[in-house]
Amino acid sequence: MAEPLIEARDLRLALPDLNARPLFGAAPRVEILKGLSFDVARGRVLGIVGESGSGKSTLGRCLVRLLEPTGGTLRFDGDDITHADTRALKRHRRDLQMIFQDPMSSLNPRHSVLRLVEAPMRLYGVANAEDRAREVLERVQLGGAFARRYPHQLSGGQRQRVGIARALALSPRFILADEIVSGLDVSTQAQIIRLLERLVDEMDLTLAFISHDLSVIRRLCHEVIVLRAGEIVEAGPTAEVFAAPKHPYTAELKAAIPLPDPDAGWLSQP
Amino acid sequence: MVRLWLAGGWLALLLVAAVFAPWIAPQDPLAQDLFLERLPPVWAEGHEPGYYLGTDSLGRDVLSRLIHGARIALIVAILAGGAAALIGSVLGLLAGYMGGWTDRVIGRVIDVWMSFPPVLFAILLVAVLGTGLHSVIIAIAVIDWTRFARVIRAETLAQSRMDYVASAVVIGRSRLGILATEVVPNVLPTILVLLSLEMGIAVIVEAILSFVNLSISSDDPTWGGMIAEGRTQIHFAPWVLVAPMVALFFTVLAFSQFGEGLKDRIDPVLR
Amino acid sequence: MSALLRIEGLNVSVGRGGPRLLRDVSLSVAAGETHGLVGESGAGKSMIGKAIAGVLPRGIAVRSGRILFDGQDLTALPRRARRRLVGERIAIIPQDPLTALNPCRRIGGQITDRLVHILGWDAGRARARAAELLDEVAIREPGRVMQAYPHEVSGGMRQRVLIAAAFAAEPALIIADEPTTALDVTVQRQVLRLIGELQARHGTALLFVTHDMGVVAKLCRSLSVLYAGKVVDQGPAARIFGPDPHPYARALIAATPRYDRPEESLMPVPEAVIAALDAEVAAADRDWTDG
Repeated sequence: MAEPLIEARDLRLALPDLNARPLFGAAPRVEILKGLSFDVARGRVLGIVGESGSGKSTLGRCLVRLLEPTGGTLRFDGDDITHADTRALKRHRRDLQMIFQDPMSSLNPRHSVLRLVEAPMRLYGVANAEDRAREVLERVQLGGAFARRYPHQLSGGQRQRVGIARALALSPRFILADEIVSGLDVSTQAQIIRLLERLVDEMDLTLAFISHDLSVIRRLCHEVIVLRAGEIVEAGPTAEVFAAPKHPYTAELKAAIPLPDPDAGWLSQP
Repeated sequence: MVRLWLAGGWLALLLVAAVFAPWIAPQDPLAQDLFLERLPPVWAEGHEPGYYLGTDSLGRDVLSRLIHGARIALIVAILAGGAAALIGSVLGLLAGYMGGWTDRVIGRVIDVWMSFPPVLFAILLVAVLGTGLHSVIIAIAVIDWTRFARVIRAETLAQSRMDYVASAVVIGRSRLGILATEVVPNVLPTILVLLSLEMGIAVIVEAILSFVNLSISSDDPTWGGMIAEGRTQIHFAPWVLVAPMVALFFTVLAFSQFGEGLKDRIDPVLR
Repeated sequence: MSALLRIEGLNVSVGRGGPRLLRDVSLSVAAGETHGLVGESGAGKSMIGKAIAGVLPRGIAVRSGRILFDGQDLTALPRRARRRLVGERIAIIPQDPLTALNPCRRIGGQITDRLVHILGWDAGRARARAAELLDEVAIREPGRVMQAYPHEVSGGMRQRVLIAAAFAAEPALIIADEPTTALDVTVQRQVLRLIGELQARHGTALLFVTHDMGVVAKLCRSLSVLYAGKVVDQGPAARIFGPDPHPYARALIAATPRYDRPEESLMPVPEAVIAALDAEVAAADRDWTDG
């Protein structure tokens, strides 16, 4: 357990500023990630928390190399994949999977549930892809007739289960979950989080879980990093960070969460 | 559902007429008989047996010419529409999916192409290529591919930004594989609808070019040529004009309705 | 205290004889009070606000029941009189600040609309009032913001503009439909605080629609919990969040994540609770005939 599965050192990303598009020449660049260093340990769940504009989704997309960092290094299982091209990445692709925020837009509406889950396995020539797909669907409690349905025929929670099943299909070594419960009702959210928790236990998954909701992070994640405007303001074991936030921003985030207890004073607190 | 069957039925009828024209047509479409000129259709007084829709000013049977004309209309619709769809969709997919300089080059070409007045462009092309069916088909394809390219480019661009394309990257599918499995199936319904509209347009354009005598020789039966001829006879023999116009109208309508109906039918999202 | 708003046996359905979206909903809100409407998606919580404001979607209509506002039954009023009454005394804070503001018009005009067109104020007085309100919702340069277009200001700012617009005409009742759902938690807290302050200062009653049990707990003295268009629990927050909630309300509270007691939160809603509710709804539908 010495070496972490993912190692980010001084990770940077700058993108052209779309608002300032000059008539000639290159657009000025804006720094979205400003030198982030952290590890994702094997078999652990890392929470990445932040508000809109913190760069948490961008960071996630760098981790699974949908985006190429413009600075620093990113290592997966000891290999430098910071600037790896499509061919060099091929080796790691099946080990770096992702569950998307909006299952409606991340599931091709024209493919059936079975086909969606099967597709990654067929691509890698996994034997008995269909049986394996049904098995994975069973794991996320979508057995039987669900396989033949299309995404628009499912509820929000069921769609997100399909997203999870697809990410699990290749038994990857790392999964990124990007705000996967933010569009769901509380009761559905509870089911999905519990499902994920069980899968982490049973399958010994390594997971990075992006969320704006500190309470969900507290429940699911072993470690947490708190992002603000592209920088890590606080990092550490979740229980410790929550018990005694070191950075005022973490404390502010925590205090802003309305817990379901009546408290008229909460609104007027500074 | 009903419109799919009605439109499909008309197109099937047309197809049968086109394929089996020599056997179905009651008369020789080219045979002139000056003793039988401007015969009225069967339901009017003074008709002759065997000439169901009457004859034109040269005594040629209108129904037989209509049936043979369907051949040319369908050939043009399928070949010209198909060619325009193929060129336009491939370029549109490339531009929308590859982005960067590919997109810029194709985009500029489309802009420039579309700034030519289409009718003038067609006449110019036919003048260069020589009159004849092949140049009509080439002219339509060469002019109208931009309709496809523009719409398909925008649609592809929208599809490429969807998360399911990102998720295909995550599972490690190749760029070409993503285009084939994720993008194309999602733009296919749009291509189909555009194609059906384009086939209707091709039939009309062929008729227009025949009307101004830039299509095939005026003896050969085409709907446009028949309309051009009928125009001069409108006061003596209106049926010569009305019959091809009705056929043209229903055919164009059938193409567009068939496309829409088919899209609703094959699209799992709408089912 | 007599109620400002009293809803009695409200039934709303799609078409005549179609599925019911609200099932015998009754509730009352006193002047200056805050009442929460909570439930999951499809529970009909937004539909209540729409029925009060008279903006139900096409094909959906009130089938029976009364909506008494200040003693007058809104459902019995002629359309024009109802529009006028609602325009003068009821305001809405919508969920999505981006689509609620017309992107082609400056912000100032969109705040003064109601004042000018419904209350008949002259433009100068309306603009002065708008500037005053923007100041009240803690917008630092009211003049500049009024001249700006919606896309030129941040999401939190847009929501404050909508709050200002809602309070502009001094309404007696404000219906807030998930006004903070799209916002970050820190911004949400500012916006909730703002609504609370303005409400206290102006003595406005507030009907607050949300899916978030935490927000209701902090904001509302009383609430109604909805399931499938039916009120399953109603009463003071102190009871529902305390000793004696309906099993479904208890389940929703237990499903809400909480960082202070992670192991006791995120509990799935027991299937028996849902089954009991579904049976209740089915039984109610059997007895219901479309009048």
